[in-house]
Amino acid sequence: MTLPPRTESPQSSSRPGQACRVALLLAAAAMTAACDQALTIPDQFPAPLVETLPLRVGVHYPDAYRDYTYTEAAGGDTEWSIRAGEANVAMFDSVCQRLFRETVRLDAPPAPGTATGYDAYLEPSIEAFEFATPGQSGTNQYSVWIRYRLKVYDRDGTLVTTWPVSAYGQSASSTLQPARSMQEATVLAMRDAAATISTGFPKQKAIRRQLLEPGTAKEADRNGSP
Amino acid sequence: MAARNLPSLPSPWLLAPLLGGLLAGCVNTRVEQTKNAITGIEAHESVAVLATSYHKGNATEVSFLDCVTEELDDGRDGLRVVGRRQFVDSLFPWFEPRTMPQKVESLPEMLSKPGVAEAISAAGVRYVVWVDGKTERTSEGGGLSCAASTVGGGCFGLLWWENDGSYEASVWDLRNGVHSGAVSSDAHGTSMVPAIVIPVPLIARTQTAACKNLANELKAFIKNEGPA
Repeated sequence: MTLPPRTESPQSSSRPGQACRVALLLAAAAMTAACDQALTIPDQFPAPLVETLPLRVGVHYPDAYRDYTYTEAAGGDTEWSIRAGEANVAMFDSVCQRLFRETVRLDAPPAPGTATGYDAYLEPSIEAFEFATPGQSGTNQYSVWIRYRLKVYDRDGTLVTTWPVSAYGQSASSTLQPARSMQEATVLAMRDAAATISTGFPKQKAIRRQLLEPGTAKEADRNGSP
Repeated sequence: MAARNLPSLPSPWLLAPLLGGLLAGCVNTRVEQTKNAITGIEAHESVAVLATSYHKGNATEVSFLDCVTEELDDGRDGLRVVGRRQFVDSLFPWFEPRTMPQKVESLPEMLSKPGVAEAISAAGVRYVVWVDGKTERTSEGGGLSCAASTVGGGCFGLLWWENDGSYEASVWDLRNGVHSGAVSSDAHGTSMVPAIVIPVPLIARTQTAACKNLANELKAFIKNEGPA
């Protein structure tokens, strides 16, 4: 009996090399994964100690605000993904619950120019999010800047103001926990926004005139005052 | 056959602090205080340790604040210290970096805000200690090279660096609404790593030395009655 010539399949001959390549790829993937940073901002914010305004307010969170995630490759090697949507909602909720007599969350915005049924209707949004890592700034701090915009409408659906709110936070770098430092800086920026809104809302000229002192505003309009 | 008791060698864990003490770098420290008003604290009163605002350029390390808090709270002569986050949260938004009071003269206005005086009273906080300063590397030099072969390896050279820690703690008496005074703590540490085959790190714990001195002086400052 003649045995067929023994042949080795290409698959079997390259198995050790393939295993090595797979191991190298896995190692490379692990190293890449170790460089990328994905974090979720905690959704716990303290209620502000401020005077409650006599307003019944409707609030609508647009999808872009509610699901906000900021992604950036810092320095080209590390991709940061900062998920802040739930924290945004929690931050604004905690402000509204103490700042206004009553707050109702609306699933959809009222039609433009129609009566809202509330003393005021609010719609927050995020216009810009920026950060700087210690490698970018040359300091040992992680810094975060957020620019919010708060649209405020009166009970008739007329735009009262679009209020830009700039917020900043910074946190010292931690060699082994960069994500934690970035998270802390982001939380501080969001607290900064909450502080500005809760202390500054009644001081905004248009809000004071048209929502808090509407009688005075109407009188001024009748007299032709600006 | 009865077992023979052999003298046991000291545990490595017992040797570690001794070795650590011998191998620590050199730290020079200085602490000073200035007192403007009579101080004193009762058993039910507490202290809050906060950093001044980073909007004013301060970058006091969280680890330093934690250290001062622990040292003030430590020992039989320890003070009651409220947690930093707990205090700031309970008074939100009045102790945030943007809104925190910058001068003791602004205390009455802050205390008149709704719920602020009540929250401070509930926390039992009599003194706020505002910490400003940081530890930074001022110089470094030297070099160290290591090599390994099939028969062994080793390092040769000397690395050194110097750290300066400079901190000031201003003490505000919330009950009397006054700036009670300030305590400053400076520390200068030189660390080095000489290596003849084996590198031997001699690390100066500059920040820890500044923290312990500041906390001990703060304890005396707050507890002592009358100008020092």
